[in-house]
Amino acid sequence: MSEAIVFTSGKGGVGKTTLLGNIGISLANLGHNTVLIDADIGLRNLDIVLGIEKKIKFNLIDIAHGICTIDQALARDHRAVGNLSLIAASQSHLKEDLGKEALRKIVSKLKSTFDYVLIDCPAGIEYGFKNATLCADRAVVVVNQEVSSIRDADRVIGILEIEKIRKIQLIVNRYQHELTIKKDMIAVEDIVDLLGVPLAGVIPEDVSILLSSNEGRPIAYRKNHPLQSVFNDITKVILGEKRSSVESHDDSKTASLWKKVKKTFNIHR
Amino acid sequence: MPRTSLPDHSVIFKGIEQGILILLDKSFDYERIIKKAIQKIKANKKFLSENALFITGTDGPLDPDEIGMARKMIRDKTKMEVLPMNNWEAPSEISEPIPEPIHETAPPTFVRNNLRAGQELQCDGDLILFGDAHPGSKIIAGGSVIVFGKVYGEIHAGQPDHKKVYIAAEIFDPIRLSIAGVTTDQFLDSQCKKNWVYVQLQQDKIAIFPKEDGPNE
Ligand SMILES: Nc1ncnc2c1ncn2[C@@H]1O[C@H](COP(=O)(O)OP(=O)(O)OP(=O)(O)O)[C@@H](O)[C@H]1O
Ligand SMILES: [Mg+2]
Repeated sequence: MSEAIVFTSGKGGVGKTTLLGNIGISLANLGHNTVLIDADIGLRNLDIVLGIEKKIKFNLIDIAHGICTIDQALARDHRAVGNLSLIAASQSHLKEDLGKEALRKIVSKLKSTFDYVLIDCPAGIEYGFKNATLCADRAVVVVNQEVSSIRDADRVIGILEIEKIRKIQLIVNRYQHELTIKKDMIAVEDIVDLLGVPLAGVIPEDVSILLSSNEGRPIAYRKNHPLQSVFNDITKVILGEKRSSVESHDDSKTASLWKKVKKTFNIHR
Repeated sequence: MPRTSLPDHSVIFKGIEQGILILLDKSFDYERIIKKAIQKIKANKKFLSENALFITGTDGPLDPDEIGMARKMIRDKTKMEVLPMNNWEAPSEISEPIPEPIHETAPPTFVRNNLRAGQELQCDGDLILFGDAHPGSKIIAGGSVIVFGKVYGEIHAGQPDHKKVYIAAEIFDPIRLSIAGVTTDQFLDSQCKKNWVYVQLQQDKIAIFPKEDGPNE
């Protein structure tokens, strides 16, 4: 069954677009028919990060306003093993120019041809965010090791839960190992413990991510780059594989009521 | 800060020959008084539905607009009809109100999820939360609060006169705290952050007790 996954964070600049692009590539490389939608209307980024800006002829707003068909707006990235396509955002419109029904229709049409529809969500929790999340079956929440980022992620997760998005996964981006060991940064386990949603994976702070985006040649395309396998592993978790890593998180948040009562009253049975 | 809730005597229920008379104290904001009356009616619905209901002001009759507004709001929210009773004379000494304070009559609320940043949980009576109250969340309960989890947000328990209410939590490190309207600026010692504690008023000041003592109910 095909699924639409929104990448969101509340706070801006935490790496949604970068991660979505790279995970999209991994999905396609694993053979899944994948389409990426840049729903951050007014701030066109995803095509640049992927390095396929020149291929964009039409955008999401053009489809919504009936100027072109979905097929005409799909920009294919031929570097991926499987099918990877992108629908870019418009740079000259406002978030409000994309109607709720229009986006929902586009996503549901795309779901009939693609296995995965990844939606890049604007920062914030206003109209653009609501619009993007309403079309999604699942969500990936991106967070940095920063109190404000974690707080915003919590707020966003609360809204997603109210919208009945049941499957929510977390990616900690820009992880700084040295500083975390020295306890200058919030540990990944603490972030997961506080937010209470399962971790899909951790991406380290690495300048090559930024450089690759600037070059338009995302890390996920770099065969021997260590980060390629990090993205592949996260993609597999998103696909449903269990996380193999060490920092598997305490499941007390999702524990059953009885488990909590047992723990509280020291009932051993 | 949450709006302080109205004192219990701002809405009084009195048994009279014809049924139940609801006395509204108009020295408070009228709309809030009606809302308070609605809460009380809801909490005692079963008992009240067997009686005819009347309204008037504590210190004298209500004018037609006030009666109309109260009747409409009460009808909309509770589906119950109230009749004006403007010839009622308050006896020199107001008798004991019939219903108990709301937090003792309202059923306890059970919540089983995490309260996330920006979310607020409000209830009239006691609250039992199975889950964590995250930073940026807010709890306002009319009665006591027991949290099987962590409290990092804002937490307020008990209406101003209900000094016996308490808060109990597995891990307790709230950003702001009040009990029956009494607040504290004191930082909790690190023990509370790890062990079950009870927080209750002692000589009108907030005091923290370890799990073993148990609250004085
Ligand atoms: N792991 C990382 N290491 C180093 N730099 C990173 C990493 N992840 C992202 N960046 C850089 O951080 C910046 C912001 O990333 P990005 O644009 O993906 O964030 P965003 O959440 O989509 O932002 P916005 O909210 O504005 O849409 C970019 O310059 C990107 O290259
Ligand atoms: Mg972005």
